[in-house]
Amino acid sequence: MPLLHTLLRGKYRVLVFAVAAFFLVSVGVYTLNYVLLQSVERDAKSINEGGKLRGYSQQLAKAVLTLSHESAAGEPVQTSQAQISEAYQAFDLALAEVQAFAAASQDGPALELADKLDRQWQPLRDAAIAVLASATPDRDAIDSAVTLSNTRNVRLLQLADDLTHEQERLAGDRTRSMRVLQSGAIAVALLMFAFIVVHVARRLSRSDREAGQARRETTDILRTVREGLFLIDRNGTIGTQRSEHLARVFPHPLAPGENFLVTLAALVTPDTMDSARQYIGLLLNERVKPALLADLNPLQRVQLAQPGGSRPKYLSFSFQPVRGDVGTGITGMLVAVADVSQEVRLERELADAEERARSEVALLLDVLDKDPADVRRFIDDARAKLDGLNAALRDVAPDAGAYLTTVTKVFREVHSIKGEAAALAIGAVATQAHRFEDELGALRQRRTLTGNDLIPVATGIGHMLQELAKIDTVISRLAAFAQPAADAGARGSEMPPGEDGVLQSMQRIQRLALAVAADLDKKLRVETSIPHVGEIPEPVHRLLREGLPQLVRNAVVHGIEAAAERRRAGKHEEGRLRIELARSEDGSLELSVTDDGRGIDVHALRRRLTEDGHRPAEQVAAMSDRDVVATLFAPGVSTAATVSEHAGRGMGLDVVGALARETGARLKLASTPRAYTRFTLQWSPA
Amino acid sequence: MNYRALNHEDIEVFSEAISAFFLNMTHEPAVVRTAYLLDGTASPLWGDFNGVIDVSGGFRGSITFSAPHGMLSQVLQAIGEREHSVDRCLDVVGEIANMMSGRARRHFGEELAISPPSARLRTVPPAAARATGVPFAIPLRWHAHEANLVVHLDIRR
Repeated sequence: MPLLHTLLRGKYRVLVFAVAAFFLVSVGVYTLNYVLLQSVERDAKSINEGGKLRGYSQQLAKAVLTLSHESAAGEPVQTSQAQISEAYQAFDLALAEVQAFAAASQDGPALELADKLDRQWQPLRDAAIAVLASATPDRDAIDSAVTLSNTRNVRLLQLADDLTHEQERLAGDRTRSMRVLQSGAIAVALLMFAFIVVHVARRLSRSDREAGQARRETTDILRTVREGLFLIDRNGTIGTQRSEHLARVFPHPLAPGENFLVTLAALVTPDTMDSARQYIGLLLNERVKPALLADLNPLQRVQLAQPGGSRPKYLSFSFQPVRGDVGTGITGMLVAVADVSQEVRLERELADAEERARSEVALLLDVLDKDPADVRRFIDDARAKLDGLNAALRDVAPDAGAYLTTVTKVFREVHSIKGEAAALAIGAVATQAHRFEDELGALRQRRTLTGNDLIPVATGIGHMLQELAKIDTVISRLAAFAQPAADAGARGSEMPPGEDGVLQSMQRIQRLALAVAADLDKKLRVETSIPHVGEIPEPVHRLLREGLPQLVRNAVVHGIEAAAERRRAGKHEEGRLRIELARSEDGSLELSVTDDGRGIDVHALRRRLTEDGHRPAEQVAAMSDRDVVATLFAPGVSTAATVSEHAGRGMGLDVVGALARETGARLKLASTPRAYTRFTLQWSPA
Repeated sequence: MNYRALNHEDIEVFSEAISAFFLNMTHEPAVVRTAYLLDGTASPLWGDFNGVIDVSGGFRGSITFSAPHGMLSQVLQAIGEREHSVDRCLDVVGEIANMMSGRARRHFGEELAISPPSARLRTVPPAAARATGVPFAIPLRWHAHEANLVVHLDIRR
């Protein structure tokens, strides 16, 4: 019923009516044919009965004459009587039929002829019956019958002929009428058939045109649209139609019949894929409004897995539920894919530019409150160190041992630069150095090193130089602004660093110590003592710049305890750090860094040496306490549990030791567990 | 336009391409001896034979493989070549440049536009540097010979 209803209301309505009419007309034509055949059959029978009348009349006349002769000759007449009886009864039946046909035809002449026939026939019939009344009919009856037969037979024949002709005329008239009617009906049927053909042809042609137009427009849309468009069914199976742009956007060909979700799973992270499946499941739920889900789309901006280290590609997927005919609900999804890599890249470039601007401003602010000469010296020193490291890399012998030595050297120098940068509060360099230390630390854990392992070392040096170049730019700009003032006071800037320089170094160190303590949530008081020490030689200045930050950092990180721990130990919760630079009577200079912290726990250090694999357990057990403490100055030994920006590398005291050797200082260490630690560096007079 | 500093992966893609070439052709890999930054923008490592690829499209600069004549002669000998002419040596460095080009495309993606690899003699001076970053030199050893890979490349962020 729904189908019929659809047909009667839809675009096929006219066609349905035309076919129905054609069917009815065809049925009419067949019916007419049937009626016509019936009529022809009846007319033929009627004509046939008319013909029979002539035969029976002749048969009767002949039988009567024969009877007359037989009777005259005294021969038996029974055969003739039987023939007469047969003839008149047959005539009666035929006449009755003819009368019935004439009555049925309602044709006047036919009725009149049938009536005349009947009137002519009745006397002859009576005479025939009279002859048959006895086995030996009398002569009069015979003669009467012969006379009537002779006189009426011709008349009967004529009337039968006339009736037959009349019936033939009637049959001919009726046949012609039927033929006309039949022809008309066939013509109508043909017309209707032609109408149907033309209508259908026009309808099909128009449908083809419309379908062609729709196809062209769809193709144009799919070819032109700047999004990758395609359809998936509820199971994720990809449809046959898609926009041309899809091939440019999506990294894999999406063949019709493939499952989109399977293809996507290979391109995004498992977490993203799980979220995407849940999101699509929600979209397919009839009771959930898509507008409410727009913000939940995990594929709104998704990074695709790309081969190698090629630039990341970001795609944006949007899904629109597709509904079928009324009552069928959501049958699938229209998926729209756009490449938003450029957009993401631009956003990141903008964010990077903002970040750079911020960091440059921060750098500027960092540098502003410092003596540009100090920063300049730091940059020059750091560059010189990095250049030296680069030269060491260039000239390294192709040997695993030499590689490890070089990496360790790089580590030490980078750690030194980090300490100095932290003392100057130049965070960008300190952070970069810390990252570089991570890579170097990983390299030092390798069993053997190859030339390939030095590639990250070289790029790390490149990154450090890049950071220094940024500071250099800032310093140069500041110098350009400060030029007039510098010209005015040129005398001061040309002077070598003296006690003022030491004082500034101490202030920076003090700030560094407090900053590290704040980072570690420790309370700290820093005392500095710098009585008049006279001229400071450059090696001592160098140690103050590069080594003192390491000692101070070491004291705050490893020596000074947290406030709670100090309270438990019965100490004042504020730790004390004392830095002294003094000249003794014999002219030697002495720098000491003392903290009232936990001191050096030799047992813990022994344990650490074994656990970290620095020394075999047996060797550690055989070492004296003095030797164990001396390992603190070896690269990689640290008592910190984890690596942080302030500690854990095991390089700080290595740097101090190296600097002491390079500057000709005598390095002493004194410590009492839970009481204090003091590092002393002593330079003999030149 | 912002360019980022090179990471070690960006350099390793080229050194690995060269090692793979030597391994495939001679069954002995070329070994990286070290890596360091080159001073200035000059090309002090421009060797007897140089295979060069120039890049653009989000990238800027060139990658050069420079090898001495002795090394290339021995490579030709190792692969069964009787002729050790200049042209054949140029073919070898050209082939190495081609291999670096293929690896680079896979590593950096379709956005990397690479010029057709070219092979040049020492007598043909190198083109002026287009990258502004610091070039990296990676000396590679094969047998007793040392060749140099120079990666001078800016990569857009």
